[in-house]
Amino acid sequence: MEIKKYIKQLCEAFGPTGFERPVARLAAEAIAPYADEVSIDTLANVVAIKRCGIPGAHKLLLAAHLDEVGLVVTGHEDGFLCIGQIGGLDPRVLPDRDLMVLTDPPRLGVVSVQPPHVLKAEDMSKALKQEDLRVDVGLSQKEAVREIPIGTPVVFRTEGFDLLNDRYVSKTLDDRASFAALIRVAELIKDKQLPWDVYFIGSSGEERSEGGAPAAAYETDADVCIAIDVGQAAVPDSTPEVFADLGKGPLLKVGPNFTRHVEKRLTALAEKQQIPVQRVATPGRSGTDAWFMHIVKGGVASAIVEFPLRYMHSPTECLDFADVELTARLLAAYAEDPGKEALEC
Amino acid sequence: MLRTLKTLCLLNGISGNEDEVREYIKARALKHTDDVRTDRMGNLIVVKHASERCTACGADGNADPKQSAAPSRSNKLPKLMIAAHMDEVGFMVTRVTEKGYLGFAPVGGIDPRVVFNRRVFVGEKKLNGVTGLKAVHQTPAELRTEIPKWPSMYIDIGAKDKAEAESLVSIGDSIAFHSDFVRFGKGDGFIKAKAIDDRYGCAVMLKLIEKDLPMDVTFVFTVQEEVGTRGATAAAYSVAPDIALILEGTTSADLAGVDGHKKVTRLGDGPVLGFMDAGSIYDRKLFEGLRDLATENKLPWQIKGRIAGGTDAAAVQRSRSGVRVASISAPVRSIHCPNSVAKISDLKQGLKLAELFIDAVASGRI
Repeated sequence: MEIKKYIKQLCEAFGPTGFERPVARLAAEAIAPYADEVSIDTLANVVAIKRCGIPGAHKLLLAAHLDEVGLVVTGHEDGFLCIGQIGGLDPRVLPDRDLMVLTDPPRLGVVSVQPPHVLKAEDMSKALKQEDLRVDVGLSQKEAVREIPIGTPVVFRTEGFDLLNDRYVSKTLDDRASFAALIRVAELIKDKQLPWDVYFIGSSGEERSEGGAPAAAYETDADVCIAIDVGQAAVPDSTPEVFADLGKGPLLKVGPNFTRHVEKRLTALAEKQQIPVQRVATPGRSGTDAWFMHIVKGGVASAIVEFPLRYMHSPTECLDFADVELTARLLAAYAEDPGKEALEC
Repeated sequence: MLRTLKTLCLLNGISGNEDEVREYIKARALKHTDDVRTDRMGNLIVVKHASERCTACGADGNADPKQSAAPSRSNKLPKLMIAAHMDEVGFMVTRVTEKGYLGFAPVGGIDPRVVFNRRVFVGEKKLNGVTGLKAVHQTPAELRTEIPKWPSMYIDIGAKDKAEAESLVSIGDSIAFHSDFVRFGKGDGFIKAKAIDDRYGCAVMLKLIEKDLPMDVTFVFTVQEEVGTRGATAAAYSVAPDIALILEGTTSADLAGVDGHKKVTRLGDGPVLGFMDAGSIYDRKLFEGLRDLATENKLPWQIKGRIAGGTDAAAVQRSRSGVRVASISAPVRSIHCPNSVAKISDLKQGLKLAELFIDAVASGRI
């Protein structure tokens, strides 16, 4: 399977939080060949099911979110757009950024900046504030108000590209690359006899923690939920507590959000299959869908498996394909052989 | 012209490393004249001789014999040079870190606030790279107002370590922004691209070279404008013009909330005629000539609302015993950024005005 093809296709699509449905359709189509049933629910979650054939089977839920961080039009000034954030963005990535304004059809916008020729050195040493930034769409005030209503979402428009060593840069690797990993898991387990039904969820709403994933977990009534997401990788300006590195395998975000028996099983399977893993202590909120799925209904065993990502929430996120493959292999191993605790509760 | 401009903007030519741009322009120019040379600094000097078909033919003294039959007045025609710079702002590699990242420094004037999370091309092999900034999650809100200093910025090429990076990259390698060329806005009347400053001027000159001209014109595609108009200094000496017209992209700050003259120039208000900037006070008669030509031909024109920026005119004007200089510039938003924006109507009107200027010089009006 060409996992890269799925990553490119999904990540370059436009679907900020609250506007995921077009991406959900793409994702549903992509995973359909490997699933027994595929649907899109009320909140735009993709739900793909691989049945094991056992009546009243236990259920494993694997969730990767399809929404992306972005911006939203909040007003118009002299034909330029005022913007608010959807999800968490560092405003420093915005000046002079090319964007897609999601009108129908989508159109280009550029975050306008003053030319350096009229700025003083001290002007350039302080970041511009997001509320002071405006998006140039090449329209007059009248045209802008008419053609681009307040509430129109806006996203980055990076086309993916390769770095050395099978590393890849794109927007929205967080977290559509994880959904591509789920497609890979579905392929790996396609012809396997499974002990439980496996639900692949492409969740909505994660970036604002109002997630579609808990709704899907509620509907599914799963025994074990695993959020597949992206984790912080170290870069030169990182502080020492961020040490995970690209190419060294999936991250296990161990802590209260990570049910012990799942952690032990994943660790043992990784060892058996010689899949390197990087443990990341996560003492509280995990910042993933698992945080919310964990407490759905009477509670669900939960876990967080991530692959390391550089420059998260920027237009140029960076991953290593090897990590995506290793993550998929670890999850496939768990889906096939989860151990008795998972199937006992 | 837009197709030419697109091709030119997508080429990379950081100051001091303009080869790619020059080779493209040279190949195009050679289809229309044999008189093409590259000087020792890398300036490309293209002489387009007066067309025989032109009634107002002129020559600048040592023209070919066919033109010696031109009207006697032609011998008095001033030597006209038109210039635009090939180079663009960018970066260069200054070091390789233990972990295989690249340190870099700006070449030309770049606002450090526009360099984060950009795709860049490194060196002649055009290795993909991305300028880094740790993720928002790793940055407390109060630190998101800090702009890192140039020496602490870095480029990620995906190298595993220093040895791998050093096998592919050398200190001093050029780094160019990646940016596509897109039309957008009302009636697709705007473009966004990198290096509109000054591939616009280069595109206009290519269009002029392709036309039948009424007099000999020396077109100079200069190097190193962005680091101090250095190419133009040398080229003006060797060309020794009487009159020089500089074609440029100039600063526009006509953004939301910017008042009056602080906009400097406005997109859509037509070509910008140089009367004064930080580098030059332009020849008054030439400025007035351009202004009158525009007005008579119903072309909009504007002047800068702030005395800022400069052009190759500063170097040319002071060459030898002095040169009369004029400039026509396109107003450009986010100039020196990967996503500069210009309005197509301004670009086309600038080309038209440059043509009118040549005619006016050839006819002795200017």
